[in-house]
Amino acid sequence: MPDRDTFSPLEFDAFKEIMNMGFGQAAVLLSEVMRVRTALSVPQIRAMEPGLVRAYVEAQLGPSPSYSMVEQFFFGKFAGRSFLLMPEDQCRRLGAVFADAAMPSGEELELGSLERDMVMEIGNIIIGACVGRIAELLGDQVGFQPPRYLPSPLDLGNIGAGPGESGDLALLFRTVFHFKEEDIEGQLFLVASHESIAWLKEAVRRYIASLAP
Amino acid sequence: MSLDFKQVVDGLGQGVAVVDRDGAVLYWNHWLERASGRRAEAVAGRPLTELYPSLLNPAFERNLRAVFSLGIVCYYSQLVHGTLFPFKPLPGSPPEFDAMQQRCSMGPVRDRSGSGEIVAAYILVEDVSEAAAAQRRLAELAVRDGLTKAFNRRYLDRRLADEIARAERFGRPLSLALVDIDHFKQVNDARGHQCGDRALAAVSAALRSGLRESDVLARYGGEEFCILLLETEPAAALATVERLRAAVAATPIQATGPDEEPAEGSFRADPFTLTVSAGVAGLMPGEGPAALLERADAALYRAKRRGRNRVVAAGPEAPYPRAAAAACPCPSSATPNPRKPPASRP
Repeated sequence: MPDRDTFSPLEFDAFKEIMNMGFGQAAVLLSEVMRVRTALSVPQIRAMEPGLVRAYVEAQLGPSPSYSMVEQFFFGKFAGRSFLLMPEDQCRRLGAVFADAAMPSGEELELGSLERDMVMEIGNIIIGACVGRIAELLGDQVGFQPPRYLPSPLDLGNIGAGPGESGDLALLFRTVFHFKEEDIEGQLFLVASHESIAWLKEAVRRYIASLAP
Repeated sequence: MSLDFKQVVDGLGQGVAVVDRDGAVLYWNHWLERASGRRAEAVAGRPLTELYPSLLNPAFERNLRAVFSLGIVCYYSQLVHGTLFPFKPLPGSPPEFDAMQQRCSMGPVRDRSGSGEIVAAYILVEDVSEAAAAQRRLAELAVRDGLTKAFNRRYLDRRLADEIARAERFGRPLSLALVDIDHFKQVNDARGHQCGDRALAAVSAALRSGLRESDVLARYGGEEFCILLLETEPAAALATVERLRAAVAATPIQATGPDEEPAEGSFRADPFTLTVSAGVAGLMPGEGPAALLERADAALYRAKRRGRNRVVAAGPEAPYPRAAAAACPCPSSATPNPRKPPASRP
């Protein structure tokens, strides 16, 4: 549900258009960078109370298998927090697709460590592509904190709030990414910080103005 | 005020390289000069992949593409990819590795004019050999039996399930052997537990020396070992385990350790030998870990009953009625305990 207090219907439509473009471009870039055909679903955008984000994410994951998560904060005028969630069995398959021949046999290593590093490495690129393209389309350049891995079983905890986060509104984006030939998929959630919502609104207005003849 | 950041970067305890879009070196700090043995002047302008052909690998190339296309910082995991630059370990590094273990990241360097254009990429190289060695030691402790250096039961349970899944998926053969030391209790009773420990270690070493790198030797219980023979048909597995049996029988075991002083002239001081009995089973279609272990265990039981010091192949049939198998006092559903056979066993 669009938050009518935040975006007018026109602004919200324009915002969805920008997000569609951003994720579309990100999918193209990801396919080029990863050398694996990558699809990103049309993003869902929700405005909600921060306290409801966790329940929303849990509802999207459903009762399916255990998930692992990569969390990464991004900062700039567009700032917030990203969560990339992948079913555990899909995480294991990432290594076979993206690790090179130098990957150790894993006999002496805890397999979990390899999966953790592989998911962080690939998750970092997926998040970077999506957040970076959206920011660029809105005229910003974002930076990223290093990714953090949270193993299964997940404690989603205070998934809706960033450090020092305040405010009564969270803007949430969700897309499903899919490495087509490998049939590996996961979900990406972006939660814009409360502080950046005003900037987003302003950026959308600029975008609408730029379309005027 | 004009600041000389080159001095700062050269003083860092990690490597900093900057390359242009063609991968040619624009900057090479002091740490890299020391680690690589190459002066900055000698590498300037040369493509990094020409200096280090090992960088022509998918992960490094993917990360570099991501830096230039997406403008993000990328991470190159030491655990997943090993070393990025083939540098020798620095003096004082742990002995575990032939090459310096590195954690690397790379990110964009943008044009100063404010256009935001990415004109170069930086590569940070951190020597993590100490941490990697500690991690490897810890990982070893987690999966190895301290006495025999064979893999432990926990590792076996996980690996067996993985290998069965792999064999099923690709239609490849897989065989399993259960190997038990004959009359081991008598060693402990007559020669003491220290001698028993040495015997276990010696048998484990003899088994290991006759296996391929890819095979898995695990301590299954007190004096029992389990061997996973990957990509091996049952007939070949039988021949291998027969060779292992002969090797163990020919292995002299020192009755006393270097710090022990047995009574002079005591028979207990003489080296002695042990024998093993084994059951070998090849994976059958649709079979799970428990069923495979059950059949190998039944074959081992037959080897014991036929006089020990021999290897017996498992039949294709379930070794004992399902109802009896269900009554097996297993520690987990995946791996029954073969040392406590159900009453209905042959």
